[in-house]
Amino acid sequence: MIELRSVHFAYPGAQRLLRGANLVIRPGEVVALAGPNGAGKSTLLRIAAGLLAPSEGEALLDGRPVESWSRVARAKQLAYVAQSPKTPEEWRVSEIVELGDYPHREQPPAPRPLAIRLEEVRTRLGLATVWERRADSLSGGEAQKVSLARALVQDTPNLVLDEPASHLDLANQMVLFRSLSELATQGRSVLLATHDVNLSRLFGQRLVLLNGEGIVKPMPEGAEEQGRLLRQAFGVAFRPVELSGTLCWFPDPRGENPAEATAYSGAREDGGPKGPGGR
Amino acid sequence: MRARERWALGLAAACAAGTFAAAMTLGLPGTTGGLAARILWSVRLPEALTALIVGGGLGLSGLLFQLVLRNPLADPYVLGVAGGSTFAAVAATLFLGTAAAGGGMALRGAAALVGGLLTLAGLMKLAGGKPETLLLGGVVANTAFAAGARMLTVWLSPEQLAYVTTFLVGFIPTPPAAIPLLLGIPCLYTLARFMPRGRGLDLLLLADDEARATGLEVERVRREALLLATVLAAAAVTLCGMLGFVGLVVPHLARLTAGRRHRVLVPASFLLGAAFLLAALTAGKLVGGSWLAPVGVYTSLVGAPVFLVLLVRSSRRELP
Repeated sequence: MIELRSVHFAYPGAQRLLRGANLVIRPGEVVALAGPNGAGKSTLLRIAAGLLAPSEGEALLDGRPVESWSRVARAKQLAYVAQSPKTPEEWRVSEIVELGDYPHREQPPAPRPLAIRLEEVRTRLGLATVWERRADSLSGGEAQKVSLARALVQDTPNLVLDEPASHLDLANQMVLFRSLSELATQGRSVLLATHDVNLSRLFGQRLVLLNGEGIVKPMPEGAEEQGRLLRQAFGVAFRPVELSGTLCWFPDPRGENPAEATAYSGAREDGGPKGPGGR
Repeated sequence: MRARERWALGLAAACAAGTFAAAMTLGLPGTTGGLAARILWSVRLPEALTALIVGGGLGLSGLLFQLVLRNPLADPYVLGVAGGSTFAAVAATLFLGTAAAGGGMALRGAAALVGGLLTLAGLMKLAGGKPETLLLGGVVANTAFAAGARMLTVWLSPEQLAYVTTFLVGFIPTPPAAIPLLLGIPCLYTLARFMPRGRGLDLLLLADDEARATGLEVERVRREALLLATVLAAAAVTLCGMLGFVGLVVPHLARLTAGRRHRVLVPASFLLGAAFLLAALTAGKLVGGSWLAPVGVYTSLVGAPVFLVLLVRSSRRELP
């Protein structure tokens, strides 16, 4: 279980980024954190993973302050994938994924054998075709899956993933979100940052928003409240579309951002359905 | 350990053993009986042991510098660490004399270590974590230290000057066997520290946060690796002076044969470094025929083209 209690944070010499953020991810839950660029999503995730100390407030891992865990004990409880992960060049995919076993080299050993965990992530993330390929020959999306696989081999009850879908194609995004739901049903807590406000909700996962005020807000129930919160967080208008019983939201190019709206209507008057700021 | 890694380690060990045997026996003057045995035991053995330990140490030092600084061009000589050590050792010679054994050696060793550490610390502070700045600063520092060392030679006595010249060229001395064995301690410690936990070094190739979240004490391991790399380089300089290209080329050769995992790369770098320097020592004896071969010249003569080949090879591979 991951818990943040009124977390405040400011980088040295900069404005306060987080101002009392609260968030709980219980076992069996996937929580997607969305918000504008620079709102502090990565910072919040790093605090939750114990990689950054909050200025005020506390981060708990399974009920204990995250900084009170030893590095190895924490690594057996929580795995983390950075926003820009590094896949060591000239290493084979299988070797990189195996690095996730590092904390289990120390006592007590992992509950499940490494070979089984490796086989599991290979199948789950569809890595069989690239398994023996070198990392410097992978595409951005493949490399992202390899980093995720490394974290999954760590076999921890808690996962913190910083934009794990940013380089994935649409099919792989589906694979990822489905996998995360499956992992949650095994009792794991998953916290991820994302720019997609719909996909996680389509898989029945909880969406929370980090707005410019540095606090975490859950996605409300009603359509009107949802639209208002999204507009307030991102500064553009959204339009809803209902899909399989879930209200999905898409930014409206003719919305209330004045610059965008003018460019769009200008393009239309020229006589063609061109996109915003059309040529 | 995989088949390829076992094979590569076996090959590296065979290279080290073969070059050790060659350094012991090739080019022995045609004497028989007692004299040959005496040369073997009191000259060839300490020389070969020195080359083994210093070469292995430089291989390890280069590997650790390249890993921690995430730069395949890093090596104690490029980084100015060896330059700082050399300058300090020459300065110590000026003030303390050339006594190779006992206190003189220990003091020169201490001076080399302090010189190397201060250079590294100063450059790291100046570069502020930027690898390019660190490398460029190292090149500049090396040149400055070389000039400084040459300037000091003005005040040296002829005897000291002869010694310092061999030192600046790079040579393998014939010290009492105890001294190379003593300097083997940092090598053994490095091997013992990083071989079974080679995986910890592997994690330094990930993003820092990811390595931390995988359970690695990133800062501690990095600090330890830098300190050991500097101690190994200073030990090499204390005994043998400037031996260019060993620390630069050997880790590349190790990666080429033994793959990327540090549990194998650490021993492979030691063995290949030892083999490289032993081969240079033997070549020096065969070609020059002198007692005190300019081994540093041979390591550079062989190391430079090998490194160029590796460089061209890797840059070609990056082209589309």
